[in-house]
Amino acid sequence: MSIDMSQFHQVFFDETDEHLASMESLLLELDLNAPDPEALNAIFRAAHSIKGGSATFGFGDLAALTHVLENLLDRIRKGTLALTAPMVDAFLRAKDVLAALLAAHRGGAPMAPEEVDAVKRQLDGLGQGDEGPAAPEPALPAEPTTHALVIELDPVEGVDFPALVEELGHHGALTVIQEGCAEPAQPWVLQLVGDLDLTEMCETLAFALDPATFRVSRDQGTEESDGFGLFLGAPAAPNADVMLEEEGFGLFLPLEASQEPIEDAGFGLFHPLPPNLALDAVASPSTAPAVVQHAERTVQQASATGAENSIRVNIEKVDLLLNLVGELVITQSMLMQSGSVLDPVAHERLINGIGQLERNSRELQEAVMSIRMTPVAFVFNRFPRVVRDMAQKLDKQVELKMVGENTELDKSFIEKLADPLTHLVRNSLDHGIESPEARASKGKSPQGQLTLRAFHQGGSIVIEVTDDGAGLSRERILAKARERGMPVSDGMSDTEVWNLIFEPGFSTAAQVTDVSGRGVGMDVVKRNIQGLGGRVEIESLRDYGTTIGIHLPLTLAIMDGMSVRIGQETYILPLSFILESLQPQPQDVRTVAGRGRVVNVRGEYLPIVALGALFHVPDARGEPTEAILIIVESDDTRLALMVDDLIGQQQFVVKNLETNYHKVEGLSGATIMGDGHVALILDVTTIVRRNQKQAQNHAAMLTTE
Amino acid sequence: MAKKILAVDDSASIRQMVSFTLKSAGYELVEAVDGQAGLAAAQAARFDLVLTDQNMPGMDGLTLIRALRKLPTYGSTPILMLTTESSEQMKTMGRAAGATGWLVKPFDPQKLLDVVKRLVG
Repeated sequence: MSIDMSQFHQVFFDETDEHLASMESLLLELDLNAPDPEALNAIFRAAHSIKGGSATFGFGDLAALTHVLENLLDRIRKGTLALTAPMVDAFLRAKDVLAALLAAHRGGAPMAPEEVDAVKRQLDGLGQGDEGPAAPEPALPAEPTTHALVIELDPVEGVDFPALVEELGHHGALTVIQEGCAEPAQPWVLQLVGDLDLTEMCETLAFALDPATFRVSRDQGTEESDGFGLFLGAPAAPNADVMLEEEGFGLFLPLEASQEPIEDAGFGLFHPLPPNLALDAVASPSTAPAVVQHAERTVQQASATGAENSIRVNIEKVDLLLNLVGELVITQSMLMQSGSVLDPVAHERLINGIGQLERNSRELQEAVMSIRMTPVAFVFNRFPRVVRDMAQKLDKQVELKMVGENTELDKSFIEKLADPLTHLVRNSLDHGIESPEARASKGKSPQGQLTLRAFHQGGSIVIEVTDDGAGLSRERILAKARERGMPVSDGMSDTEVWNLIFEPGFSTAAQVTDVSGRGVGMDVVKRNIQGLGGRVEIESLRDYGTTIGIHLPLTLAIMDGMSVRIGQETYILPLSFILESLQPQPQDVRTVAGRGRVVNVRGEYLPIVALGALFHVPDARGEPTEAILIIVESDDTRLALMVDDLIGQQQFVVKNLETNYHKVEGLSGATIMGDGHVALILDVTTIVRRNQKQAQNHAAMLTTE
Repeated sequence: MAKKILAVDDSASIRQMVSFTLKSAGYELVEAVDGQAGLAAAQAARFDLVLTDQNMPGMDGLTLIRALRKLPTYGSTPILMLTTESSEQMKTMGRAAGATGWLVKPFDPQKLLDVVKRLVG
């Protein structure tokens, strides 16, 4: 039978990814002075599993590097090699190389062999110097009159095992295979080639120990072949009086076997073999991993022990599901609309059914959404490493805190958040947090604090990057803005000043470092977040630090909105921007020179934006008193949007305008209404910003005049 | 009746490979992700053969073998260690714990099948 090993590769890749990630986070948490033995064991196991898997599935490069890594880790966890900071660095580097090798096998860019060799050499170098104790010599082949025994002693309180072991040593050549230990429980394992036979040994031990706490078996050799072996004398060795040894394989003969003990561990057959045990049955030339493609693809099955309750599903399937739910929501709102004109008494059952359908489709939509929800920890997890490496490079002391890693976000956000967040974290470390000396001179702890926080706020998710560094410098930002010819004034609010750093090409860093401030600026961060339908907010206080908050909608695909009528057209306003709507009294509407009309809302004058004029809609109402004003807020700025009528509030499936048509300023997308018509979704953030810019230009014009 | 085999390994890819190989040959397979789960599975049903990895979180292979050998129903069931370590020390410890034999990782699926055939027919 030939088996196509490539069918197992995907599972191997995924599990190796997980091992590498856990290896990295464990390494980052290690306390060099007192490493947690459990953590060391877990790191070792991760390396060990990768080695085993990569060797099995034919990834020699991965196996070779993990082999070196595993050896070092093994010595460290056994205490024969002390853990040092350079080792942790080297292990992290090795992890990176392994990840790159893995990516290459997955079809990514190939890995430069020099880097692999360099890491291997680095690891080799770390392992040299103090070699651990040599492995115990295997017992010598015994003389015919001696007996080879294997003894297992459970650690028992009150028994002096070293003395007992020494005592046993008088009976022949004794090898301690493993020293016993009470915690974690681990028995003593001894190998004795001497004058006592099995019965005599049991009697001898029974003087000192409870018979339930020790086991003695005859070491009757093994049968071994390439990679496989049976222990002769072991329970359940089939047809017990056989011994057969091949390289890597062996069987034990049972204790009650009546024949002379076989004490030579070499190769051989001592008794006639039943046909099914013939050596050649095992040593037959094994077929290499085959090329034959099996039609059957195994899906990882939930094991009978119930340890795995999750399945891996291709993201495309989930997206398809989400799309279908979107279509369902459209169909449902279509039915709703048709139903609304029917006589509720005559069609009571139909109308109830439509109501039921609405609830069902909403629940279904939420359930499908929740499949895509992923803990924000997936992005946060990279930062312990980023912060550690950067702090080292910049000679700063930084403690990273992460709060709310379990907050869930749509998977598409998770992927697109990584770059902007990395940029913000780098900025905080580079420009925010001061050097330990500067901090000390300000009376702050030399160790800076960087906090990543994720939480829900209303209908959105907020992710904050907070540092306790120097804060933004109002003067420097204003000076820089003037230098670049931007219209600024000293009377600008802090929020307006902070927002200047989002202007393209704006950087106040005194010098460009290789850590941050090259290429990508804050404008790209802001654009990326806006592309996700979110916004960025800055709070900063001199010498107390800066908080940059990313506000994201819960999901992209379906949103709650208000449909409004302008002329003969229907537009959608995302509900999250709307504060209130009102019909203004004539005395509340004023005209301000150069700024158009404003409306007085409880003492606050808000600019009115006539959407009909903005989108050149014919027949749109022009008088605010005849129309409806919807007060919206974005970027802490309020605005009154003038529309003809409110139609109603409902859920809309967002269709991308850019991919289906092209980008239109002031619009963020389109949707299909229940009656089949297309309605455009207003981009409130852009409309607000456009209005602000006009006001600024006007103000600048006035000052220059 | 198909022989029942318990495969204990913390690596999903190895479990999948072992499972696929042996199922294709007509054996009935139950998988367990570590020693603890393996012991629970072994107590819940009778198996004709147990295959176990050595290095696993929680309960390792040797501890599992010792625990199985203490159960009356597993006194004489063949138990094969699938291990990357093939040192004399590991072999002796496996023997002392009560293993029937070992198979060194990496192994070829065909090899696994040959060995399993020898142990349970």
